[in-house]
Amino acid sequence: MPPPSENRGESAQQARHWFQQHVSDHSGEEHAEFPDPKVLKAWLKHQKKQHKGDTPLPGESWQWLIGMLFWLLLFAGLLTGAGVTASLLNYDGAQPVNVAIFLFLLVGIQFIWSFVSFIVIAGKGLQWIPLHAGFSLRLLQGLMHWASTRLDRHLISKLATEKRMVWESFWRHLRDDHAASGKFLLWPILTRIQMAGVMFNVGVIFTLMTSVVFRDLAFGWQTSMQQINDGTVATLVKALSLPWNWIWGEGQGFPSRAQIEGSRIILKDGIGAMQNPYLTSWWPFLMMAVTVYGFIPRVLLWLWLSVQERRQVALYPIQSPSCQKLWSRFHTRYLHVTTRPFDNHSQSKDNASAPSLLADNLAPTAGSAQSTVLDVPCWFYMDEGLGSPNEQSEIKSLLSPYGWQVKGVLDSSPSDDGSCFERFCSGDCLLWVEEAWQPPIQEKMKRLKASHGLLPPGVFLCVGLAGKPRGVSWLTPVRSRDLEIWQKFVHQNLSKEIQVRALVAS
Amino acid sequence: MMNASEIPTFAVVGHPNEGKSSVVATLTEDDSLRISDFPGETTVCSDYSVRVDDEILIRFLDTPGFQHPQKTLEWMQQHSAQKRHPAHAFVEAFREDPEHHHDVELLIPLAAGAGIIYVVDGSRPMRKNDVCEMEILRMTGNPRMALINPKEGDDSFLQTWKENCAKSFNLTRIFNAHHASFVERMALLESLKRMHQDWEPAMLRAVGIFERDWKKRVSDTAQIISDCLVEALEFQVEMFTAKGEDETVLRSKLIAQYQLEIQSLEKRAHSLIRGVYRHRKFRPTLPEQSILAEDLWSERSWKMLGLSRRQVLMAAAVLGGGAGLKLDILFANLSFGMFTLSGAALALAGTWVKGENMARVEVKKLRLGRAILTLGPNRNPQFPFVLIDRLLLFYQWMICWSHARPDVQEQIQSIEGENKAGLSSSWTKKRRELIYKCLKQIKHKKVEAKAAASEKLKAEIESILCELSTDTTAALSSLCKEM
Ligand SMILES: Nc1nc2c(ncn2[C@@H]2O[C@H](COP(=O)(O)OP(=O)(O)OP(=O)(O)O)[C@@H](O)[C@H]2O)c(=O)[nH]1
Ligand SMILES: [Mg+2]
Repeated sequence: MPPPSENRGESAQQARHWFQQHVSDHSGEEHAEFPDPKVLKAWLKHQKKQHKGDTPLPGESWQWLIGMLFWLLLFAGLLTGAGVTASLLNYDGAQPVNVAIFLFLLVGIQFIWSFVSFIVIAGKGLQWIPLHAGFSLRLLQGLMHWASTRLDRHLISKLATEKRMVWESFWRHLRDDHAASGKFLLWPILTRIQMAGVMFNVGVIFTLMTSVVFRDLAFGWQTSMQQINDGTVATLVKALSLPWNWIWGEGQGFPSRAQIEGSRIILKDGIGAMQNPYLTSWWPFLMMAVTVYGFIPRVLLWLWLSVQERRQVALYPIQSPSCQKLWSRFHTRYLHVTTRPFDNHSQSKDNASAPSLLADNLAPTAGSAQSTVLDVPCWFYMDEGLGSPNEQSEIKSLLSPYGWQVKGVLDSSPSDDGSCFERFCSGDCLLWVEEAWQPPIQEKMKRLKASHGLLPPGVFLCVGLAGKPRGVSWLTPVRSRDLEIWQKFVHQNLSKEIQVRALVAS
Repeated sequence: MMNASEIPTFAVVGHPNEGKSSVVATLTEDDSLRISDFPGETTVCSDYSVRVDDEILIRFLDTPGFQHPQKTLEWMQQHSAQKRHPAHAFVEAFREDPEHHHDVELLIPLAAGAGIIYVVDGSRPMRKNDVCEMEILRMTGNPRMALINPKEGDDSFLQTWKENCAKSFNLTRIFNAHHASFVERMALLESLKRMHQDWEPAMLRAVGIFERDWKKRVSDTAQIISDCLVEALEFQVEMFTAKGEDETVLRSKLIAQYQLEIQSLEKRAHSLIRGVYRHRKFRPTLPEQSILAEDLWSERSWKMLGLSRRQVLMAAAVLGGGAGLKLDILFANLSFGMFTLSGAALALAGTWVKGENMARVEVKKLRLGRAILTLGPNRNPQFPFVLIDRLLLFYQWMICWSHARPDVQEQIQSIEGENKAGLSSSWTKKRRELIYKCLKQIKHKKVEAKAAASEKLKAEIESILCELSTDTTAALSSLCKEM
């Protein structure tokens, strides 16, 4: 089953914590290659308890979208149903409502559509028909595409970059989720489309009922063909009312021959010649027709699809990337870094030449020392294009006062190939140092992404940020805005798995 | 150089977030550019032309920042054997690639031969990426200038920047997008003409037009200020009492009304001046402690602005008048702060009304027990000076408030004590007397005398504004003066 929240910053920590508490004591620490479905299910249950009301869908983006879609379709269905019916029942005393048109529009088309849907869905379930075929789905896809391009052109592109990035990241995640598990995302959409169909019928029935109760309506039929007389119509009506004529008989559930004859409209005679009881006799028949041929098939389809959805989700392959990711989260130690504030004293020898530079707002605030540094061994990497790379041996001693346990220093760029990762063990961390005051340009992001992709399983990537160099030291505090910018870039454009921290807390 | 001979065109390029858009906003006085501390705000190359009557004088192009400096340079070096312009070749090769959208947008104008203004933040160290960017720009062979825009005060890296820029650029200048005065802007435009010979006449012409335009703005502002003064000095409000209505209640209503109307006169002048200096979009936010943020009728305004007691006496003495000027009463009242609109002040307003030389509420009895109350014109000699001071402060604020930034919050100095914060108290004696005289004559009955006086007033104010506009740093500091 897919993990419910793919991209939450703290989810890695939560997963690891939960796993340690509930599972690892009896299944051991060894990294099983394939996820254990039982464990995954238990985790999902736990997650559901924590976030009540979550649907079993991967990714928050999808969840949000499906939620929106659900309400949108619901209201759209209800409103169109009510609207179409109200306009069909327009009667001002001159012209009775034409029963044939009403039947054709609200029952005939619907019934055919339901029938086709049934065939398509059954075909999909039995895999005769490709999954993405189907008219409603095409329509919806087209609509979504139209809406997203419109949105992009008129709204998103006018947003400030900071806000736009959030949206772009949302759409990207949507696409990724879709690519990873599109098959399983289809069912919820199909279910919701059927729901809209049900609501359409509810709208029709409701409007018809209220109109019958509160308005004076008249129904009638007309034809120019000699061959059609009230006998033919009566036979047809009787045939159509087969499903319910055993409860609601002639004259009640469907109009009798006399009533049909009396409600035939002959335009030259006008409505004055017709009798009221005949004109109103049609409504129970129409109501039942909508219920039996429109409403009930839709409800059945919806129920059936819901069952299908449940079955499909249960079959979600546990080898999927997101399950693997979750599994590896369970099994790797969570890197938890809290940095210590800038230490003025250890720097003082470096800055003897420029003491004035250090004086302003750099003094460590004694109270804020965050001492809980989990000693995760780090592999230090800093691009040669950045500020003065100190002697490699020096790096360890420079960083250790701030809580970084440097295991080694990489001298070649890790994004070229994975060869420098051979020395890494599971649970290690690649500490990738960047200068926070430099904007995170795409070139940097790409290199970071490449390295992230090459990392052996169980190794973390942490971007350590340094501030503007002062004097000879590059290990200075970072402006909080710079840290925020880097976090946004890395989390929204790359992955929330990558941590972004200041090397030295401010 | 395809269009070099036509309109001078400058592409403002550089690393993301260095202040490119800010530089363009300042140079073109356009506050509609999108500026943000989030890198990558500008995503397309856009044209910000300086126009005179629909004729384009200079074209500034704001561009996105370099997103792939190292890769771009590598590519250009590999393809340098081609005869074509390297920027052009790059644009051709990557035009369809969404990943290189920013770099392509940035190189398009260079491929078309635009002059380069390379903006760097001089308050940070130089890095490999910067070296790559400079090399890319050097390879294009376009005329180019480096503009060092030190965003923060730190100047420890400035020397390195200057030396390195000198290697790759024809010219190097320091230009602060947030604090550049009009004079500095003109100096920059002057130096742009040296980038390319063909552009020299056009640039010279543009600078000339800019200077004339600036003079016109000063003159317009002087007109606005003197109009506002004249109107405020002559302003009068009237109210009728209904039968049996309490006269004292009506009096305080009248005073409140008067104060409100004068304030709206001032506001109108502000918005006109704002328009003259083309601050359209941003709502100005004043430094918190600035005296300009105070209400016109507050006690503090009257304490901090206008002339000192002695100066008023001296100015009045020159006119030999002194007649009826009972200054003791006048200033005793002033220090009570009766000009505030607060409840206590309204009670005190009665004293003001009683004061001999103030605007006085005159009551004229009509028939049937009704009366007409009038207030104004204001004859308090301090009043026009307080108003002038406030308008001049506003003017200073407008000219030093860069189009590139939303506020001037950074440098607020605090000045303690009883010193006057306005400009009028530091004018020369001659100027004070001249203005005092003009103000006096404006109240003259004769139309010609009146017109002549207001003309003189405008001319004097114009020369004050001229002096102020050459020195925006002084303007900024006086703007931020506070108690
Ligand atoms: N203090 C100070 N800040 C400045 C100055 N110039 C620009 N800035 C700030 O630097 C940030 C970036 O300015 P922009 O003009 O948007 O920079 P840009 O180069 O156009 O950035 P992109 O469009 O993202 O490539 C903004 O927050 C500006 O307020 C300056 O002279 N002084
Ligand atoms: Mg910009």
